[in-house]
Amino acid sequence: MLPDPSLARPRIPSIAVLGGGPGGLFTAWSLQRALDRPVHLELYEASARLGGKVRTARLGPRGVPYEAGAAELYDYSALGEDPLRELVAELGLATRPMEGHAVVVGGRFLANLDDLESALGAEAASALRRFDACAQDRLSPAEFFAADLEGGSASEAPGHRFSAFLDRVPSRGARRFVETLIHSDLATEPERTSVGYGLQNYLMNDPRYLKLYSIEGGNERLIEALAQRVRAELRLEHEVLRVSRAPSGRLRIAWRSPRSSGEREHDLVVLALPLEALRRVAFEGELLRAALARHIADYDHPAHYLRLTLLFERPFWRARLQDSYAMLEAFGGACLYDESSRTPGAGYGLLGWLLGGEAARAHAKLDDATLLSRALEELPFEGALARELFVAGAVHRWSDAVNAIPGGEVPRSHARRHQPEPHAHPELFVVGDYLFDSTLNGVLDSADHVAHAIAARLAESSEEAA
Amino acid sequence: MNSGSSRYLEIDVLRTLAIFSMVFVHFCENLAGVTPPFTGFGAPLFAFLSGASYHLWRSAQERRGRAESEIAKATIRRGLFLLGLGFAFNIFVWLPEDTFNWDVLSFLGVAWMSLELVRRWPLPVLAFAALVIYALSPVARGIADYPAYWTAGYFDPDLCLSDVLLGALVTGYFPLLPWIVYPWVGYAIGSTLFGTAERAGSARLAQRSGTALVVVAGTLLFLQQRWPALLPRGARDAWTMFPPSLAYVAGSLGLAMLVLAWLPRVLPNGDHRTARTLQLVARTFSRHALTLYLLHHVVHLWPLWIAAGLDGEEPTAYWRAASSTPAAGLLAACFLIASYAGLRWMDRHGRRGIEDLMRWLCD
Amino acid sequence: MSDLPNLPAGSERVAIGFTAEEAPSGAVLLLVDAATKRRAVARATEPRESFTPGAGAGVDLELWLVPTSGESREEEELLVEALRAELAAAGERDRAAPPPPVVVALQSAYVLWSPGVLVLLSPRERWLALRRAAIDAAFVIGELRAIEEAVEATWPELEADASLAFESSERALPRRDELRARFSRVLALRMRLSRLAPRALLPHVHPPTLASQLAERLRERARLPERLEHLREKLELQFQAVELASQRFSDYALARTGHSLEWVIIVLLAGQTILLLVELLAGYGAA
Repeated sequence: MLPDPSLARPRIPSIAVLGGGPGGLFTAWSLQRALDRPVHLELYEASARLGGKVRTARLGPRGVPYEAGAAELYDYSALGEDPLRELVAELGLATRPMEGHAVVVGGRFLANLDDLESALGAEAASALRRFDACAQDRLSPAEFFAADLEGGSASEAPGHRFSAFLDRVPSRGARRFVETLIHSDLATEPERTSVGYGLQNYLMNDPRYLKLYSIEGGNERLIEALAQRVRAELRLEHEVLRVSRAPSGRLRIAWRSPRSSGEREHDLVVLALPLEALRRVAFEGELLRAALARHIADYDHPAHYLRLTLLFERPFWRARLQDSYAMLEAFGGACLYDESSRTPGAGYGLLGWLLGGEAARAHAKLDDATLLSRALEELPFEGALARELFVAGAVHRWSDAVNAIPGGEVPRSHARRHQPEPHAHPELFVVGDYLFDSTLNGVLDSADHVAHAIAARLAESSEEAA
Repeated sequence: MNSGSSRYLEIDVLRTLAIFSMVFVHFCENLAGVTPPFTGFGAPLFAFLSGASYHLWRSAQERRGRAESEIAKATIRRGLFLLGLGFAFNIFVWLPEDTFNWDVLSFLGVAWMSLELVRRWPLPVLAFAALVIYALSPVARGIADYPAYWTAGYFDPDLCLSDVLLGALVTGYFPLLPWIVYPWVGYAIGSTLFGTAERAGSARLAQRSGTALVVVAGTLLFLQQRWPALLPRGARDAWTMFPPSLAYVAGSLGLAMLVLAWLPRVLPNGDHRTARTLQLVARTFSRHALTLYLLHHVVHLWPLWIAAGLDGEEPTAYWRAASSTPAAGLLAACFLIASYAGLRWMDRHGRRGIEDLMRWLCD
Repeated sequence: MSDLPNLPAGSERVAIGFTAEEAPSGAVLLLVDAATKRRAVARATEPRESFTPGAGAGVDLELWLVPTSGESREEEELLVEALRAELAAAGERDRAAPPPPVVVALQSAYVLWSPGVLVLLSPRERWLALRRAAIDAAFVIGELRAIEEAVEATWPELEADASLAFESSERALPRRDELRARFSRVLALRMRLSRLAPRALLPHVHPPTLASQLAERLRERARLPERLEHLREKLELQFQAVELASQRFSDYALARTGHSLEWVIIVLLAGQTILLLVELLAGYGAA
């Protein structure tokens, strides 16, 4: 590591975290826990709210809460350490398990192999069984858990796509079933993602691999709880325009807010931004610019979500759907959440659509009214009744918000992922869900890694100074 | 003696029987000079029951959470109290020269203290020790020359240490050899019968042991009458209480065990009138056995001494010659009835007996 | 044939007994426990018009199979609600504070479950698989309840014996047989539980079948993992206590033999000493 004269000075190190989404907040929280010295922490967020893709919004005259962004959290605790589960517990947040069994194909709810067999034939059922066995052979629960750990994922030939793997499924029906099952989680098309990521998204439906849960009162409570506990100077509505090396040797950040603009120098900078936001930041200096361009190119596999939320006077579908969610064939495979199941005894009914991949990107261009109308049409329940009971709807577009091949096509070491230019700019770090698995769990892993790297760096610097 | 624990009717009844036997025997012997046929059963019963009572008393103390050392101290204090009471009794009810004649109270005091040691033994060891004492007693009597200490049917030792100690061990009225066997066996039977939930098995064991002892006594008596030569010299005594012959000890002990094990089957239980009356009577007598023991002596002996004194005679002038047998029997019955009434009155009015004094002093 | 007037035509009632009989009376439906060779056997039943269970001797479970067409969801729901009310009423006839009937809704089946009675509503072609799963789950749950009851029944005795786990005494010795029996009982319960555990903690089947979903839901509703855990703890404790007590007994009995011999020697020596003393005292007296 290069000697860093700026850190040798006896003063409180200043750290800038760019991005007030889960990545930024997790980084600030992890830093707070990993560091053994006071630091001056500044959190820049371009928008007026914290939380990014974790958003619990309200709908209708009664202000009914619903998930507008990340719908669920993943529970790995049965397989091993689950830092996110531990964080949620530490923050004292109550959770609610989420379960869904059914895939709706041709208007029929297929909740198990028997249903599948009677709807699609014995051949499809046996093909699904074989596919499942093959998937499990390829990725055991332990391997699934270790996939995002350092050296945990088996490297695949670049360009090997999940669609090729799916082509081996002999039954069209079974293939369609699997595609529908995973499409909304994948948020992309099988031909745009790797076999590993596709398999992960298929196997996470098996409770031995993963369980889903959400936070009581809305997932955004996680953000609120973190924001309350993080000791950082919050700079909301501060869009970072430029990152450069100052004459002092520190990193300089140029920002703009609705009322003013300015520059600040920091000892360490963490970029906790989604790729599309990272693209908008100008990096000065040839080395840095090239490194960031390379970094963005490495992970440039955009995937998309679109969330439609529809409020009804009552949950008229409960006879057909008792689970937290079901997968629908509509929109190339979408997830239909019974949002009102998060609030037992709620008098209203709330359905959330999660569209993924191409369908999400294409539909994002349509206006809200059309989208809501399409959603009502595609409901696998009584259409007339749905229209009659419909109260209000909301649309949230998350284009380019997630990654189709998170972790990159060629997995790199964790250190390399998080430092785009470690030689001349060792004080610049990157945090993001796209570096791991496009989940909240992944972004926490990423934040943890960076926090520990910073802690180690600060410790080394002070040793050198001494 | 009062067990101080949850009461078992059979013990109360047996002790009441012992009291009745004692009162009638003493009245008839000391007033009329007649020995009734049931003589010789009261003292073995008292001694045997003291062992069983000790077990019940100790269990009750343990249940109350009293420390073991405290119970041991109370045991010794009670033993010393009885021993002292025995000496005082000998002096005041009999005569000063009778101080060390080792009557039943002194014996019970020593026996009660010995139980503090004996209770630690496993039952087989206790049985073995009892057997050893039983077998040694005629030998010891032979060595000590028992008849030499007895004149005209009364224990008459010299007031020297060796005679006094020998009286306590072998030659007195109630010497430790073999009388100590009764409370020890009583303790063993009590802990077997009243210490386990499985009562039927214990009762069977007590009955079998009792029967065996009775058979031994019968065999000894039979052999002694028919072929005395077959028996060793010390075992040739017939059914005698002074000295306590092998047949007498085995027989009286066996009978006591049999009756104790058998009584619960015949005693009325439940809440009907007969059962309640029996319980009340037995409990009243049994609770005040010590008081009655002292009282009946005072009641029937002191008038003799006083009358003789008033008449200017020897104190023992009217002894064994004061009344006819029916009159003595009648007096005994009157005493029992009057004492029952008196004891009920004491119980109702919370008046204290000698037992309460012992408890107050020792527990 | 339906015994209940308000059930759809084609409904069936099967009275099931779990038995280890060599030649059971009635058709064998399922081997429910290979170790004890217990099988679920269909018992002969009289037509009845209520859900009251336990009417026949040797009947552990009554299974009502109700066919559904899957066409009218609303009718199905109404039927389920009516049956639920009926089961609740039957439960109240049977005992003072009955647990409310459990309703499990699967995509193409409904299950109503109250103690001793299980009602399955599903298309007829699913009956066979569902029936096997239901019988198996009912057996496992019933077996667990039986073990729980046995453990609870042993509890007071165990509490009474707790002190024996620390030390034994002369007075406790006669209870050795009692404790031996208790040890066997606790061991037998542990064996039963360990046989049952793998079946109660069966991992979720993936991809699921209707039968596996039914079994999982029933196990989940019966809170099998938690109950199993508690039972394990209780049995472990009971076993430990009895084992400790037996250890104390053995130690005590061994020590007691040695002590008895010592005491016998002491008693003999004491006897000899007494004789010597008597001889000595008698000698003084004579002198």
